[in-house]
Amino acid sequence: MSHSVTVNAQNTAVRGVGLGLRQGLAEALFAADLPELKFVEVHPENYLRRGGRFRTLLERARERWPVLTHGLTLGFGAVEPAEPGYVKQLGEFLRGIEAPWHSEHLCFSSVDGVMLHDLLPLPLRQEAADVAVQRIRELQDQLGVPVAVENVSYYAHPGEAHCTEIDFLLDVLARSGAKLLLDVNNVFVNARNHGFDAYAYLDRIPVESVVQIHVAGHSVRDDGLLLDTHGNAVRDEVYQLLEHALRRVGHVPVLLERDQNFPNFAELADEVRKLHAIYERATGATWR
Amino acid sequence: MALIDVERAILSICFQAEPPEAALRALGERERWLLYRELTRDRLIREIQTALPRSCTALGDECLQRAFRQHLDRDPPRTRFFRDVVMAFAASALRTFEGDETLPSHARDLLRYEAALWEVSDLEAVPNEPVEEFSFDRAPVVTPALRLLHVTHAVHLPPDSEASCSPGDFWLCLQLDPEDARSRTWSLNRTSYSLLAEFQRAQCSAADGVQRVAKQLGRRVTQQFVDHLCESLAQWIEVGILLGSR
Repeated sequence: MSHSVTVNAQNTAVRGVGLGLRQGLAEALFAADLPELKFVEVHPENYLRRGGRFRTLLERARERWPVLTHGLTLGFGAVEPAEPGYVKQLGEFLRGIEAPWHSEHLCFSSVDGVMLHDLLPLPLRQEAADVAVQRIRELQDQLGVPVAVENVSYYAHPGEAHCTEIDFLLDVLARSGAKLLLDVNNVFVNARNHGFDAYAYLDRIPVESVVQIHVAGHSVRDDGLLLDTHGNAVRDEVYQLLEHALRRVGHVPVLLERDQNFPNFAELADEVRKLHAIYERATGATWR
Repeated sequence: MALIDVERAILSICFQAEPPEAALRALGERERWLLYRELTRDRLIREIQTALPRSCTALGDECLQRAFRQHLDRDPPRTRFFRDVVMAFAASALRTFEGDETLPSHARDLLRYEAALWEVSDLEAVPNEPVEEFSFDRAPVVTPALRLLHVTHAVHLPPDSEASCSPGDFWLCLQLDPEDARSRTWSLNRTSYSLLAEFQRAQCSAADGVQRVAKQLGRRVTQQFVDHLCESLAQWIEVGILLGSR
């Protein structure tokens, strides 16, 4: 079996800044005059085995923008493989909307059949990397589209770490052949919470593996711990880190993640425009 | 610790009624793992409160928290669809409250009703078989985006209505509105409810289904019965409940 799946050439043209297609945002998004918005991203779990308004929403979005996909429940560190029926349906969904790749998180979200509905950290050790490589290869073979791995934020490490986060990530990427969805806010949050240099982390990323970038807001607790909330405006330090990443990797699509505590749409549109300006400056793009 | 043991330890901290001390010690960074417990639980209870607002009010915070704690501890969600967490909780809470007489009498009905409304709003409305024009001689096809619910309190009436949640037998049909893709509720009588349930099963022709229901309910098939039946069928076809025959 081959683990290498090429990125759909037709869809690699997805560039620029996008937003998550969220029900709470949808009507404003469809009504907005926002030419800086170049794509939307969806979580397949919100559309699979579902009719009603979500189906309509997706169809309307596809008429306007390219749609990228980002999963929430197939964390690559899960010890049990995903159920084949679900993966089959996911593959059909991805092919149906011509997804150029599909991303999931380097974490675990289920154990013994119980779904936690959250992104839980893996131990930075050999066994976890081996499991992740295995799960990525299985998924890539079953889906028939390239798989991208997202680096997650984490607030605690289970037991003793045997390597750094970036070494763990690079090992998984190298052995699985996966692409990378680089979450710049997660790099920033982890760098602050765990005491490493975010820029040095980014400089070790193999640029050819990056297919997409995520950027989001975070909150700061009274004790200084940063929480990756997706419910705040993006901070200036994260914008700076994003610009650094874009200068290295070039024209990959950048998603502004906003999943809760939605501001009025004008505010969000301003964030999209700000990201667009950074994108153009960093990549030297003049396209529209 | 092997990876599976790490993952089970984290699961136990997040979902057990009390976070196990042994797991917290094994993983280290106690306060941070308790933060994960708070984050995972908050996310789930917020979804439940969004989906079941009237039920949560009727249950009260103490009962709601008790049901939620027991749900995660004994019967945690196994669905990868976040929206289905609501139905998993409702099913678990109904078991928790079985025979509990301290609850308001309408609370269980309200929970069933709101959970069904939530479920219907996401159902697929297109049947997975070809549909032809309705005929009494063939098996009826009812929209798959429909749930029937018998309740003993008027939980379907708006909370500001005087009769809301008053006792009585209510035969409800919850349907995904094909126009605006939202749930809506039809109040039926016992005969039309039974007939629709029979049509949903679609094990025989519509004519046989009518005969069977009339017999079950001890009704004679008079001209008046037939007139009411035709009225109901015409309305069901018009609003997209009855799609046709196969």
